[in-house]
Amino acid sequence: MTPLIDLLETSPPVDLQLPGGYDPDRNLRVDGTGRPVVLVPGSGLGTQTRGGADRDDAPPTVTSLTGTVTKNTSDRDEMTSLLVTKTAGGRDTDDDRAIAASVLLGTVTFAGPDRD
Amino acid sequence: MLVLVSNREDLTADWLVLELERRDEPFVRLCTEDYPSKIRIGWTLNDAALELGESTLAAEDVTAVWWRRSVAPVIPAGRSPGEMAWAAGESLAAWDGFWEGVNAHWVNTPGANAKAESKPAQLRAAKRLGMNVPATLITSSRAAARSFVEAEGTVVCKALRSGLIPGVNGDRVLYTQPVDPQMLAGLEELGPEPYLFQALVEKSADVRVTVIGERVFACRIDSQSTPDASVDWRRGSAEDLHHESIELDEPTTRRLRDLTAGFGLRFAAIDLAVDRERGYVFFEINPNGQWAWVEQLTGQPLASALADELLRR
Repeated sequence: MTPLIDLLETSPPVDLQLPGGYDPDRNLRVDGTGRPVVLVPGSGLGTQTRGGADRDDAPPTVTSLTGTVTKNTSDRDEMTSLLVTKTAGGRDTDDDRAIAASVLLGTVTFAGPDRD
Repeated sequence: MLVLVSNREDLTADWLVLELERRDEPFVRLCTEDYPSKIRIGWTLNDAALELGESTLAAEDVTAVWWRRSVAPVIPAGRSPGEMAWAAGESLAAWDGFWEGVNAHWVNTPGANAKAESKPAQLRAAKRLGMNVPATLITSSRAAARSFVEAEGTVVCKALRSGLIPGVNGDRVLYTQPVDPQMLAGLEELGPEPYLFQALVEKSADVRVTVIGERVFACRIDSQSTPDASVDWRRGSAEDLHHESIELDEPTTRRLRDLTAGFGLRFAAIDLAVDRERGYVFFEINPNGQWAWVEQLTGQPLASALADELLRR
C-alpha cells in the first residue's frame, strides 16, 4: 500500500553549515575572531534558516540558503558571487561586507530548492 | 536568576543573549546537550540544584525561565542501545523533577507548550473565540478525504504535528500543499496515519503575529508575490517576501491574546491569513515559534519585548 505521504511533494531541509562555534563564555556562537555570529532562523522547520546580518555591526557571516541543488564550493570568486546575491537584508548587507563574509566562511553549502 | 533553556544550535537564543548583554542583565544559558554528562543534577526532599562546571544553579534561585529548545538527554556512546535508552529515560525523569520544583516566571511552561501544540485543540479554541477557521478534516479514511475534497473544492494537506520527516537517506520537509483529487482516487488507503486536510484559503497575504505577554506584534508577509510561497510562505526565500508591520483590529488582537492566555502561554507565534472576503483566518499557534527574522526584516522589538517579559519590566 502506498501511503499518501509518498505521493505528496517533499523537499530536503536547508542544511546550514554553521560558521564558527559556540562560545560557552559568551553564551552564543562566535566566529573565528570572537565576534558574535547572529543568524536568523526562519519559521518552523528545524534546520531551515533564513539569511541574516549581524546586529552588532560585525560582518554578516551567513547567507540565505535556498536552491535545488546542493552546491559545495571553496572557490572564492564563486562563493563571493553567491554570497553577494543571496545575502539577506539587514544592516550589514552591502557588497563589501558580503565579500568579507565569503572570506570568513571558507566553504559554503547551498542546499534546497533552487529559486533562480 | 533568569535561565535560558535551549541548545547550542538555537540561533534565536543568541538574539536574546545579545539583548540581555546589552542591558547588562545576568542570566544563565543552559545548553541541554550537556545534560547529563556535563550538567549534574542534585535533588533532595528539601532542595535541588544543577552543577554547571564551576558554578551551581539552585532551583530556589531561579526567578524566570525561557523554556526554548530543550533537547533530549545525550548519553555517551559505548553502552548497549537498551541501556542507553534506559539511562536517557532516567536522566529525563530527574531533569523533569528538577524543573517541576522551580517556582519562577515561565515563558512558557513545558506543560502549556505541549497542550498548545495540539492542532485540534488550537483550531477548536480559535473557533470558540469567534475567529475564522478553515473547514478542517483529520482522517485516515480515503473515502472521508474524497468526500471532503468534493464538498470543499480545493483542499490542502498539512502536517498535523511536524513537517519534518526523518529518513535514512536524509530528512524531508512536508510543506502545506494542494491535494490533487486524482492522487486520492489512485490510493487504496491514505495510510494508517491520519492526515490533516483544510479548505484552501484564497488569501491576499499571510500574517505572522508574535504575542509576548500582553503585547501583540503583527507582520504582514506578502506571500502572494512569489508563486512558490503562495500556499505556504515558508517555501519562499525571506528576502523575496516583503514583510511589513501592521496593526490588527481590536477584536482580532483581543482574540489572539485570549487564545494565548487560554493555553497558559506568555509567548506564542500565530499564523493568520488575510482572506479576500472574510478578513483574518486562523491557521495555527506555535508556542515556541521563531521570531528573530521578523525583527530583522521589520524592526519589531521582539528580543526587547521578550527580555521585558522575562524580567517582568
